[in-house]
Amino acid sequence: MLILGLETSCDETGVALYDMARGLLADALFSQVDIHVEYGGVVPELASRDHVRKVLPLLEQVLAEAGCTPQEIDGVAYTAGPGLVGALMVGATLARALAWGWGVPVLGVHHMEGHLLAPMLEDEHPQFPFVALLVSGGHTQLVRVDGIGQYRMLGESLDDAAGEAFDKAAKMLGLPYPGGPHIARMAQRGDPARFDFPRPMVNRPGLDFSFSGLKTYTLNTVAECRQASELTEQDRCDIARAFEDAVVATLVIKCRRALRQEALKTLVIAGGVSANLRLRSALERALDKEGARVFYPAAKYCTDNGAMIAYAGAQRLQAGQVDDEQTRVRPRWPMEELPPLDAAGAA
Amino acid sequence: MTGILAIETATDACSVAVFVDGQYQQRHEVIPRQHSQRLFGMLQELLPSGDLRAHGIEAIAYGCGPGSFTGLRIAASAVQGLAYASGLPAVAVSSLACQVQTALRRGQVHSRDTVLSTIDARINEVYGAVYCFRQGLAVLQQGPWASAPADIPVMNAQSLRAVGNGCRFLDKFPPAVRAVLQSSVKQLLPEARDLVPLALEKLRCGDIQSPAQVQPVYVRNEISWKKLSQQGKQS
Ligand SMILES: Nc1ncnc2c1ncn2[C@@H]1O[C@H](COP(=O)(O)OP(=O)(O)OP(=O)(O)O)[C@@H](O)[C@H]1O
Ligand SMILES: [Mg+2]
Repeated sequence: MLILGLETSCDETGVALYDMARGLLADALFSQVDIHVEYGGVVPELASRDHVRKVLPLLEQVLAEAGCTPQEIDGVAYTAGPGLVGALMVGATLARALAWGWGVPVLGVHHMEGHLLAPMLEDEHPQFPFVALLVSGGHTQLVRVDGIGQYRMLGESLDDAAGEAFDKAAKMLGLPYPGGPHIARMAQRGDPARFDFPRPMVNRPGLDFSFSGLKTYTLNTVAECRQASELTEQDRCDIARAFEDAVVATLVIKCRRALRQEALKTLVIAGGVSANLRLRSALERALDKEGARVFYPAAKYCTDNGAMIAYAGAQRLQAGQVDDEQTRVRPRWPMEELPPLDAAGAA
Repeated sequence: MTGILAIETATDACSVAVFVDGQYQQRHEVIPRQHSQRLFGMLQELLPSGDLRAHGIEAIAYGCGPGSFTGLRIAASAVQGLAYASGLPAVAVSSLACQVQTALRRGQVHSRDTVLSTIDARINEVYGAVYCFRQGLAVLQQGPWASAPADIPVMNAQSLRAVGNGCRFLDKFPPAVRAVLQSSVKQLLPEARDLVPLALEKLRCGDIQSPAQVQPVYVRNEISWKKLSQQGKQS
């Protein structure tokens, strides 16, 4: 069963072909970062305009790469939410048109379920049940996952998402959007002993996060450095390091707490921030001591991509789930509302 | 005669028509912000399946704008997908021209008239263009533009009939335009079936598009968002 996946929820256009028997056959991605960078963030109208230009050429690219013809495609999956409404609509409408034209089923997929299942694309992938830490530009969530569509929210950010915090801190340091990778690069040259940033919420019970205090602390530290002299390159590296250490430490503590609470030994991290190498190694070290294991997607499937949508869609389409007659995009869409995968079709 | 599927979603109207064997069938509903939800339901009411060739369709016409940005993208994305899946050519027709054709069919303007076609562009602006008719088909004379109602740049018109929901700003149109206005029809939205005659003419001229060439024509290209350099912040 060969499934086409389309991702257009934000500022990347992703298209991929996933086959239930053969795995991922091809995927193509166009990142709009260069379009939005001069605005310091994603401009929704520009994002939508670019998706309409890029998605069909990317489709032709993946078909050529996979050596497939459109007639071989058995179903179409698209990101139905959460995300930017205008951007979602482009992928949703194209997906429905293709599926209707080809006479195959079509299904709207939850973007965060896509992220959550991205580690399944790896040869060595996790087994259910597990705890997932979703850390992206718009989400910071700890979820108990008992199977596809069986999600229980354990905790989430009360304010900024972790990726958003990275982006805001980067802006304070004069780094371009999206800031996560830039902070990580600068932090490598930072002195971990110079600043001691607070670890938000770690002393409180529970599994929720808060990153806005850290944002303020970063802003104040930048201001203090500026007051002393100019903000030097070393200052920026040291602040980046302290910021990253604080976010990583917070995430690690909460992940460990979640695993203990749920009595599970498998952690999955996904979403853009899961590309962060310091987070990965800190989690590995901490979980090793607990006899637990961490799984994450390949770097290119951490941020938005079509492959994760094709994969998630393939599982659900295989189980017989399809859209009804109305196309619905869901800019906001709690993941817990997703139906479980039919046992008969479970992967 | 060539069979056409036509989609027009630039305004509050979600409009789909099928023209096969000289017969029109249309679904036309005024459903602001619900086009994407309803579009495929309407298509399925007109055609038993998406195998367009099997139902006698030979080209897909769409209103390419100007109009609601989201609406334009819904038509363009749908037509991209349908044209790609069927291997049929697409034909882009201005939504302003389509509207003029709708007004002609309804007898709201006549084939000797010069027509100012307008669509409300929100934020107190209008899209507009001037058309006359040649053999009953709207032919572009001036435009299209996006402008404040007072700045509609119509030149040298002797006599005009204005149509479209941009006419709600009529009292703000430039004095030179108002002086030559013979009539105005504010209650008008483009209907998909009126894309068909214009599309047939374009097909005859070989003015067709491949699926990837199917794109909205926004007319308004500036966005209100500020660049970092304009925000007074370092980047
Ligand atoms: N190496 C890294 N270290 C830290 N953060 C990173 C790294 N790489 C990417 N990010 C962050 O990941 C985020 C982008 O991830 P992703 O594309 O998954 O988010 P999104 O799609 O914008 O949001 P969502 O999926 O919640 O809708 C950005 O905030 C970016 O700064
Ligand atoms: Mg994402």
